[in-house]
Amino acid sequence: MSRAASQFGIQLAPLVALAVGVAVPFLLDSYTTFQLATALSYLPALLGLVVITGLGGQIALGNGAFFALGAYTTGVLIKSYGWNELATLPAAGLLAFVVGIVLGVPSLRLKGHFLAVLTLCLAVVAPQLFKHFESITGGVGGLGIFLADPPSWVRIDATQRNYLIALAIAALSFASTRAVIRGHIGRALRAVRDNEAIAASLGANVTHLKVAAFAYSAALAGLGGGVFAIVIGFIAPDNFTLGFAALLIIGLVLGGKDSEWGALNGCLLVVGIPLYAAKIDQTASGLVFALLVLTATFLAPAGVVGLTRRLAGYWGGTGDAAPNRSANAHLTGLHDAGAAAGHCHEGK
Amino acid sequence: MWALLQQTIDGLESGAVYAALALALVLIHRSTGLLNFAQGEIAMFSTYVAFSLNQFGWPIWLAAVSALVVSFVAGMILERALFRPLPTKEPLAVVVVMLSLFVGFNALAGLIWSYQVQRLPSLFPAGMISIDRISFSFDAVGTLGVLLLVCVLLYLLFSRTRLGLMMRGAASDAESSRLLGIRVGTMFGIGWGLAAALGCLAGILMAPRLFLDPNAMQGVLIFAIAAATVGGLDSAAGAVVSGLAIGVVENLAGAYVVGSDLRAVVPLVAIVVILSLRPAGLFGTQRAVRV
Amino acid sequence: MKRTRSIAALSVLLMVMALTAARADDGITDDSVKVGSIVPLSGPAAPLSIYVRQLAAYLKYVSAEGGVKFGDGKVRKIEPIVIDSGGQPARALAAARELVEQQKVFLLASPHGTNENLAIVDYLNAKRVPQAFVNSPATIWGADADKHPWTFGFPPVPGTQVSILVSYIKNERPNAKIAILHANDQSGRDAVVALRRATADSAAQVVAVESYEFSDATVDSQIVRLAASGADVFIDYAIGRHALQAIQKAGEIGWHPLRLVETSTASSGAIKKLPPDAIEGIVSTAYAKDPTATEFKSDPAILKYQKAMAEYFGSGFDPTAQPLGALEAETLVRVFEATAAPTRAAFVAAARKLDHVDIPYLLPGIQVSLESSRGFPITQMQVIRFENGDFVRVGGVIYGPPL
Repeated sequence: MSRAASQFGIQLAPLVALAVGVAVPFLLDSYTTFQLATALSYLPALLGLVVITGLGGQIALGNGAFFALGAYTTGVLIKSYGWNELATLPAAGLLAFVVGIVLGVPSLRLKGHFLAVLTLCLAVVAPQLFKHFESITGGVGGLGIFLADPPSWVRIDATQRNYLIALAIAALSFASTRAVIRGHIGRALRAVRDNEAIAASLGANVTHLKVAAFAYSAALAGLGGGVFAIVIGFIAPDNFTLGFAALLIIGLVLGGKDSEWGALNGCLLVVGIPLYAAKIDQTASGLVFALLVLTATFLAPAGVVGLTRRLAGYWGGTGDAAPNRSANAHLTGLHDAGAAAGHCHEGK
Repeated sequence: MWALLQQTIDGLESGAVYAALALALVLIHRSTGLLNFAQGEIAMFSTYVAFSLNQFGWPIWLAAVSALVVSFVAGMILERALFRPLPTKEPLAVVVVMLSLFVGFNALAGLIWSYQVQRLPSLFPAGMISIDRISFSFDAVGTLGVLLLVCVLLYLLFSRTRLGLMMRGAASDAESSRLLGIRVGTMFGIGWGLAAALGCLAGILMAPRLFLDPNAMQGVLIFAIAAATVGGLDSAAGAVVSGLAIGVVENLAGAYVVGSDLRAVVPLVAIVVILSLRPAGLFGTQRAVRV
Repeated sequence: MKRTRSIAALSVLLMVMALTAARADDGITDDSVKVGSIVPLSGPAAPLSIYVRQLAAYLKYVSAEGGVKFGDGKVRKIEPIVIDSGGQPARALAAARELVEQQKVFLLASPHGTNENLAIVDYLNAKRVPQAFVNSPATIWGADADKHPWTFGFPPVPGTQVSILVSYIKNERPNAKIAILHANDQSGRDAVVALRRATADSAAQVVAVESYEFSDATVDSQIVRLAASGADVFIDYAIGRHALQAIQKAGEIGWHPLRLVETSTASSGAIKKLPPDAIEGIVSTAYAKDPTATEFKSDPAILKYQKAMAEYFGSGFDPTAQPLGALEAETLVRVFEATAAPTRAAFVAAARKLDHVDIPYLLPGIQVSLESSRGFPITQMQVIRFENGDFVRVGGVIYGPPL
């Protein structure tokens, strides 16, 4: 296949996916639409993790907290202030972004296990904070958001409308993350991940890059949380415990951690695996879930995306499937790291 | 005044619980470089094994020792079967395996022993020591004593024995160690086995006070991880000191400052404060990276 | 008064709807009816999942023994379908949708958990699917019946429990200084509100209130603070292992108040894990028969329950647990027997008309009443006290106002 044709193929794929996504609520039943909407609400958070953890190599276990923040922002704005649900979403993303910067600056000085542990503590503290400030969040009793049905002239029901909102946000996040991954910021992040000291010595402003990536992942998680609140209609602190943060990481890894398609696979897996496990055995679903995840990890440690790349490799496929592991690409990445530093200075 | 002193003593008691699990975390990290998120659930599961043996009629000392042996073997098997085959290029895959173990052991314990609360007899005689209305149990004193003993033993293992040297070598530079003839895989296995046994010990020490159900370790885990981290992930003494300190601060902060619902803030603050002053932890060693 | 009228009007309306729309709803045929439930089979609330498992097992047994004769004359077998919520409201909603849209159940019986039920109440009421005998002690299921006519609760709410405990306290220690430990959840909060209300005009006072999180390792700190308040009565409204920790710690620091525990701690057998001399004199409340009590050993209902569990419960059956699931199942069966048409509206109408019904799993003297209690099926309990190795019933059946 010629270079141009495969490039075209690569550009076409997201549009095809989008078309399929739009068709879904009108072809499939309400329950499946609801489940897919839930999965799509996780997609932005996973995309954010692809950027900070997959590309950036920083183990961020606390993004569940930003997800929760977004969910509560949407919930509170709708319930207590009567905002339109669509208007709350940018607010959710923006607030999460700001908090991401504030928390990111001190946190990202830490590396490796220390960062993982710090973000883990964030994930544990967040539900407690939401419980504590109950005059705003409704505390332990949770927050019910009852959205009215769409007006009858629109001819879609509430489930389909929620799904379409989720799809729109997911598509925007997907496009934006795709641009980041393939652009020079993505290459700069990979350079920092592979060898931070060299990247810094070549002029990358490592701190800015890391904080920017972290804040971006926080913003996406917040957006996803807002969508989640709309889709589910009820949020409580126990929705966002450590187990949720763990589920996100599992989805990220099993899907494929450094590709936007990996995030898409991941969000479907995050919803699909527990369902499948419950169908196999109700009472032992946790155990089946663990076994499924273990098996999947061993069969495909680089996720579904890694698996397809290996298969594509066996069939002699072309295209820019492989991540930049060649020496040239490495140097390009470092060069871009320096360029990105410049961008970071003026852009933020 | 009594309340303040009693809270402090109680803080030391819960701190001992955190320290015990933190020691297992430190051991795994020292011997394999991994931070094991599933340590608490493995510890809980092995405590249930001791519980079952005790229910069978075995005296608690015998049940405990047997459970320790079983845990050691199980730890080695886990390492061999699950962690050695993972490609080192994918550190996140390790995290996912640990999370699966977390969920899996919890679910398995619930299946086998149900989620009802159970009681495990203490290794130490029942009874309290009371000084001027401040009371602490023989249990707590015994636990602290065992912890200190374990600390000393670990110190001797790693700095005075050949095995300890080999384990440290395997952890810090696997390639060079292999070239020196050290069986790296076996060293990792031993590290896992010892850590599993330590976790089991932690569980058996804390179950008489905390009571046992499959979720018992989940609240402890985050504090134990914080204690291990603040102490510097490679230092047993650091883990114990930090664990005790975190226990006391948590109790006092919960009682007098933030209220009991925000106690989880304490490990977070501890990590932020300590790690910004000493980025490698209180007793940790700074790692130099060759570029 | 206004509420009684609106509920009565509601019942009449539902009955009219039921009788006029006699075509069968989803999930019910001439010989079977599908009943769904949602329960945390994993997670911190998992210990409480045994009651829904009891319910499912009991319904299977009843079906195998011939089924239930409905009010329209047809005999139907009941098919229970149980889905795990993991204790998460979002999963509970997914489970509710699956039960209604895919499995097409007739109704939801005894879904478990306050937040889980809050997550599904709007959906179920919009779809007009009964959410029957919700397994959550929250007050709203009874208090807000007009907002969600298809939903009603079952267990005695904290208001009932606590007011009965307080009436015992007032008898024993009129000038009591009361301390309470509660979980930081809706039920715990309701308990404190009920406590303050019950002690409002009396010599007994509330002097200390402490809460804990389910993820807390111990409650030592809270017990020390409660003891330091000088209270001589301690209401241990904690559940699970924290309830036991509280009792143990209180004993260790030499605090010996009059101790009362929440009903599930006593009824689930958890409290008996402590040595008998440590729990001598502990007081609680009960509303169901204790299958291990000598007086009920040959009780025909208890024997039926044990047979049903032996055949259908599966692994992990705890013979000391209270037959609360069987109680709810038997109540469900009674409502089916009064359901005059194969429709959901007829079911809800029959349920809301339940009044002063004796169910054999309740302690003698306690009855299920939805109509006269205006939405709270059980508002009576009996005080029990631990003496010489077992719980004994003290005094008579007492009514505890739910609100």
